[in-house]
Amino acid sequence: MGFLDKLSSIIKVDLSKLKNFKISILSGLKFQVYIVNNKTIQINPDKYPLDQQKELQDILKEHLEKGGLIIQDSSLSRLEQFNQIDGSIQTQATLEYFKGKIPAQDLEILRYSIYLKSVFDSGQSVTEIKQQLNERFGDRGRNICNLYSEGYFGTQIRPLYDSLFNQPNFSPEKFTQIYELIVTESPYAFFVSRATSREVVLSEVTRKMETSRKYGIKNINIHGIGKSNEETIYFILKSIKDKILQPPEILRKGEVVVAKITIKDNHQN
Amino acid sequence: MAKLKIVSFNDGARRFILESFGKVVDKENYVVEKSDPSQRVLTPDGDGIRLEQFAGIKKGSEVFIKSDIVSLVRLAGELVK
Repeated sequence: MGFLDKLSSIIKVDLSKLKNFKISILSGLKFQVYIVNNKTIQINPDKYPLDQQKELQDILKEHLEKGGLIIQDSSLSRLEQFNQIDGSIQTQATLEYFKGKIPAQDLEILRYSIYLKSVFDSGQSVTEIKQQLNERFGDRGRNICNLYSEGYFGTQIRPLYDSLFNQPNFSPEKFTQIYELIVTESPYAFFVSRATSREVVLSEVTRKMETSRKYGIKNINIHGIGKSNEETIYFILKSIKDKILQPPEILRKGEVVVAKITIKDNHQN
Repeated sequence: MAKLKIVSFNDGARRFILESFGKVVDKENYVVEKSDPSQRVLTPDGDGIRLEQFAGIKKGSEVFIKSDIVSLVRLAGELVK
């Protein structure tokens, strides 16, 4: 007897007429078994006697041995959402462009950054995903995520590669050198985080201004999302007013605020 | 012919699924071997898995998957396409 026949006999449902179907093990609910659109068989193991629960568990083992997957509902939904975004023409075109130009791990981070931005743009919370990426990929991951979210891969990094590529003495190392600077130092951008105090943010912005000046970069965009980060941005602008050309340009898009500052040269008053 | 593609489970069924594969949860809420509770079940990255992080299993021999997005994509992404 195949494992689907065994399952049919336990749940008293003829599965032979179904084509591709899914089983959903739902503990704690009121029903014993419920069929949704002839595609999903919902089974509540708590409603079966212990010997049949054991048989159900043996069926799960057999399913896995045949190469099947057993996955938590919300993780399945997240994966389906990821695959949909990841498989889109735009995502694939972006990844294809950067493939071989940036390190393999950065390409993987970029893949998650595209997903994260798409989830954020659809109005859903990304706090948990962001935290997971930070834990997995550290500061470099955080920087790449932030740079992609704010469009820098399209507006800075890609044009940089194209412009270098068109120069007669082009070498991939030349691009890699500048790219490394961008993803480690983000000299064009600063991202305000709610988790950091205003004083620390101010000191980080000041340090970034020095780094950027060192590389001949005069413009920095200070990014923030939400009311408290916006207040922090205004606190910073007030604190560094003598060091930047006035007035700074402020851009708003929904909850996102960007202050574009131009650093004064040392001789400018 | 009937073909079972995926088995999914809700949060409440985590222990039931783990029991199917001879795993239980210790006092610190980590997934461990039922036959040797001192032995934690590890992900391919070598991490222990807390019950609330347990997101699934795939073949090979038995690969236990954590619920963070990177683990999900790396270990199960292709299987749900």
